[in-house]
Amino acid sequence: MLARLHTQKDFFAGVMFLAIGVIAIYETSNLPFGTLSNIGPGFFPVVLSSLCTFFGALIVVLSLLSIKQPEPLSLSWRPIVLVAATISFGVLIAPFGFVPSLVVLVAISSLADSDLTWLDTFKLAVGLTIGSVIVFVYLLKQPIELFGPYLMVL
Amino acid sequence: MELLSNLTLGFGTALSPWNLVYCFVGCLLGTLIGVLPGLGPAATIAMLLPFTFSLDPSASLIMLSGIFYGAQYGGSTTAILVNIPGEASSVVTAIDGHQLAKQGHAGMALSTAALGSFFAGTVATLVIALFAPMLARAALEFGPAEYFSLMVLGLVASVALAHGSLLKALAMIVFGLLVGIVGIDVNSGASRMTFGSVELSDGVDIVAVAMGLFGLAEVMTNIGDTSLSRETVQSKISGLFPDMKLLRRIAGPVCRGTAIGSVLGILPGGGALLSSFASYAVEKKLSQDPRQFGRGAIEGVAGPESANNAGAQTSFIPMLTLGLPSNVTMALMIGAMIIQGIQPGPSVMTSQPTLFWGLIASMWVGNLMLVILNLPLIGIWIRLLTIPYKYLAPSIIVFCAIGVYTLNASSFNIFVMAAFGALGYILRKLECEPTPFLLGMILGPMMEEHMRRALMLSRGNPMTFVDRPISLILLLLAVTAIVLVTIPAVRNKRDEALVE
Repeated sequence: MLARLHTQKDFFAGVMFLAIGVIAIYETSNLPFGTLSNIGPGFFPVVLSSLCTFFGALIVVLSLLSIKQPEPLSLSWRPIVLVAATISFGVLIAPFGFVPSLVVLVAISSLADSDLTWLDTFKLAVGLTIGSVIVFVYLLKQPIELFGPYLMVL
Repeated sequence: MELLSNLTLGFGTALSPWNLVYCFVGCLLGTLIGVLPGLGPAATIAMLLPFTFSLDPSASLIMLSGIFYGAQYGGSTTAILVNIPGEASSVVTAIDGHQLAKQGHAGMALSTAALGSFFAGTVATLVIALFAPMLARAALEFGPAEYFSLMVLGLVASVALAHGSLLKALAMIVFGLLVGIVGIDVNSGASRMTFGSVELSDGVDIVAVAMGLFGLAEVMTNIGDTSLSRETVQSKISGLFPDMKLLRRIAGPVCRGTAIGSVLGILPGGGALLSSFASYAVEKKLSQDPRQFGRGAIEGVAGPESANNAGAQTSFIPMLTLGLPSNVTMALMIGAMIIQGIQPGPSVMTSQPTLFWGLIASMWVGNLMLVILNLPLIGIWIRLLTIPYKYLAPSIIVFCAIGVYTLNASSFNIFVMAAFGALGYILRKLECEPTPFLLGMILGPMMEEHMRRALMLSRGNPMTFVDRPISLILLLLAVTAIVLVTIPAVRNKRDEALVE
């Protein structure tokens, strides 16, 4: 049953929307509201963030009122590794260039899957790096530096 | 005769050598990525979008739609052979298709899916060619108030037809609208919700967000999911060329599926998904032996496959004529159009006739290519299916990261993708659908602009939205959709239909 209410999930979702709404109200409340015949930059955001807050509060209240058994929320740490890998790519590409940051990206994201051996990771890193360099740099002619300025100094 | 000259213009564009190449490459890449388990059309398009930026507008849209049908088609192949539906609309195909494959009739199921999709694609292309101009002409009469109400209806209907909690979906829309207006306001120059960041003043890039929500987050959800490395049907695929007996058997379901899909595809939201479920239900009702369904009934592949392809195709109608996305794929297409400098809306047909008709003609060409391409290449697709997910996950991350980086050679978009990947993972865990968010995000700035103009024209009278008859009807439809979905009886029916 896809659509059965999962109260604990609803509770957290509601809290999230509530928080987003409040932050958005705080961020946009100082913008000029304008008049109805000439609405200012603050009008639409304030309406939206109020709606977001309202929906969030409603979801929280309904989840607390629900008599259904709460279903526990399960989050695991492994997927978060992939976010870290992506961020590392963004941080490394400008100073170190395409090749080193790709290798690091593959190395870190391989940690997310316990089935991958070191040899697997090595093969993936080599294969994906060579493949991406051929496709993106040589075939598609993207202006990407293979090795960045930090490595040139050494 | 106007239709004929339009189609001639369209085929002239679609059949130009370079456009044929782009259509072919799109279909090939789309199928290639769509076949990989755990990657739906939305993720496929998001990943391949950067490849199209350097092309001219017509070529880029032709290639993108090629990618779209390719991905859709690849998804059915995966559903039949591995029982992993790449996306919601091939869930139904997997039911009987995989049973057939297990019984050694994989070839029959695959060719039925291919021929059904081709027939549906041909009919749906004609439907678009006939009705899109009419709709576009009617839409030219729309003022800002009508547009605003139409967008409200589109957003509301897209969540009413989807599954899951209505309230959470509505909240997701509002959240998306809010993210859509981040950046410098074009009218006043005020920076909104930029949290002091210079990069955010240009707004949040929709491609980076889509790659995060549908690429990265999908991998995050799938990782460690053992069901993705299920055994593939390894036996040799034979019987790819259908005989008369099979053709006679699938003719009815294919025609009915096409009709259902063509109509439902125009509706916002449900499109391909709703039509495949509806077609399966119809075929089961009409069948002389309903017990066969679920155990390998070819009608259960023929009907839904035709329906979802027709639906996918006709979902182009609101996108092309009104500039309204009815699903994530169309939202990304609109994003691509804006990047190419084309303002989506009813004027595209008159201001860009080659693009408009070229795209329509290329839909048919693309469908033809898929039939010719896929039946002989099926062996390659099967080999792709056997790649374990553990190798795929890092590869997908690499392609997403490079793709986002090439958008404008800035690391900032990579961070945006990372953030929305994490957010998308949490949203999935909280059972909040990311689709309404993306639709809201792309419509946010347009909705604000139409609202501002409507209120300016009415000299600040908010009643303008209900005083104008068309606008009133659109808003009433939106209210009706919400009320209907909240009525318990209808709600249960809807959940049953979508869960089954």
